[in-house]
Amino acid sequence: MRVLEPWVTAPLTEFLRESSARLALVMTSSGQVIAQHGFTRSVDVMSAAALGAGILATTTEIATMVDAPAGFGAVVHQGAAQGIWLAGFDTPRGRWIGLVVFGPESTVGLVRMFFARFAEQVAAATPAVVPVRDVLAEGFERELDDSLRALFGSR
Amino acid sequence: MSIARWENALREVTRVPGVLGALIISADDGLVVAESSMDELATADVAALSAALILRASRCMSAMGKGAPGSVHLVGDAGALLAVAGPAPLWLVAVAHGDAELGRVRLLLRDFAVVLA
Amino acid sequence: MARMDEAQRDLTLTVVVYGAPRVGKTSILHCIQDRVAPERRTGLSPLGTDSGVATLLDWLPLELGTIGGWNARVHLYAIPDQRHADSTRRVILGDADGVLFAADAQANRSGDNLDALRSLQSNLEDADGLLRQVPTVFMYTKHDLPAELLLSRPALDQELNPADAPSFSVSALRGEGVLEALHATISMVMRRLVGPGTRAS
Repeated sequence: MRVLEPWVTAPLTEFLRESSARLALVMTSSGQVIAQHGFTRSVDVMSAAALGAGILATTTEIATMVDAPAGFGAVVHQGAAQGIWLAGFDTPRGRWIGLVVFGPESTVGLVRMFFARFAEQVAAATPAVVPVRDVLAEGFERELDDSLRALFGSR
Repeated sequence: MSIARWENALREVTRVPGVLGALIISADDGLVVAESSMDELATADVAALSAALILRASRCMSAMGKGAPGSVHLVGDAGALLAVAGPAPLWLVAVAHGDAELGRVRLLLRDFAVVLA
Repeated sequence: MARMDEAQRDLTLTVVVYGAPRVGKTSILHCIQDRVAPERRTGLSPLGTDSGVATLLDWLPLELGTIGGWNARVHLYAIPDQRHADSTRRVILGDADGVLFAADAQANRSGDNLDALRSLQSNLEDADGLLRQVPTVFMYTKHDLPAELLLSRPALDQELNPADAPSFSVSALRGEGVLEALHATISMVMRRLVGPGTRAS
């Protein structure tokens, strides 16, 4: 499991244990990865995040078309061997998305139930947003110049 | 048999004193198919956890070479969960307080399972 | 928006290369990737190619190292031209910290450039129609073509860049101007994070 935001670790660990999910990906609504479990290649993570965010964005458009302004809670695809659960949830840092892949050792009902608990726990544990002014020390430009010079060799 | 008739039959189970709710679940995906329950019963969670229980029970029976389970009864200090197999993948599930007439509930579920099949 | 992992002091910025069809967005990413020092080079990843439909977007991560006390990296995205990629554009732009707007410097592509700029603005609008302000740098591409086919940088600025954002004449083929435009974009994004009142040195 790899987690970018440390407060996601405990809820995600519990979710994985309780739901028996095989893969899990937590991302922002625009596809930036927050946490992942079960993926072995970073490119797969990025692809899944971009595709998952795109799917939810598409279903939101469909919801608007069919006059369901509240949107759909989740998108579920049940395959013969594996199923996918894709759902958005609100946190103090905006809307996040969970993408879960589960096998026959679990069910969509279990994933739904424990995902709801996971979303609640993450929302409760998320700290307030960092004030952006505090992010970078002043006078970063010289370091940026040096960094880009090193990154691109002697350009 | 229509969903409306299923729900009528489930209401009959729920009328037994002490029964909090009765539902038909799909054991394959842990979802509610039809239900009749008191407000306080989280039926979606009951369906999800019952399906997980049924899955484990099925594996246990299979490991013992005793076929597939026909019913699962879980009796606790303050209540009970009764599940009876319907036509696959459906199961009938009832949740009751400890003082409910569990024998009667079980019979109703079995009768209903026969009608469902 | 910029992702900050306070515990690890990791800072991730998203920059999107946006522009009209066939302006050379993927070539720009290839040009940047080719110029990364070999020992720090990562793969340029086409995302979504396994779907059997089309490439959804190209993605190039750049590890900048320590800047302002943070381990900084930039994720560069280029979204291809397919019409069906509009929802992808909106999704990726929703998290963009900066935009590199690529406009074709050829005189006969003016209409396409303006269409792309309008599309960018519409994809940066929120549900209430408010335009999200994202630091944008303009790069005028195809400067490897004969000069008589091209509009001058001031003429392109007048047409596309009335706010006088930084602009660069570039050739992705020759690698001219691309890194300078990228530098300007990252610099603008970081200056915005520091906040008003901080001057670039």
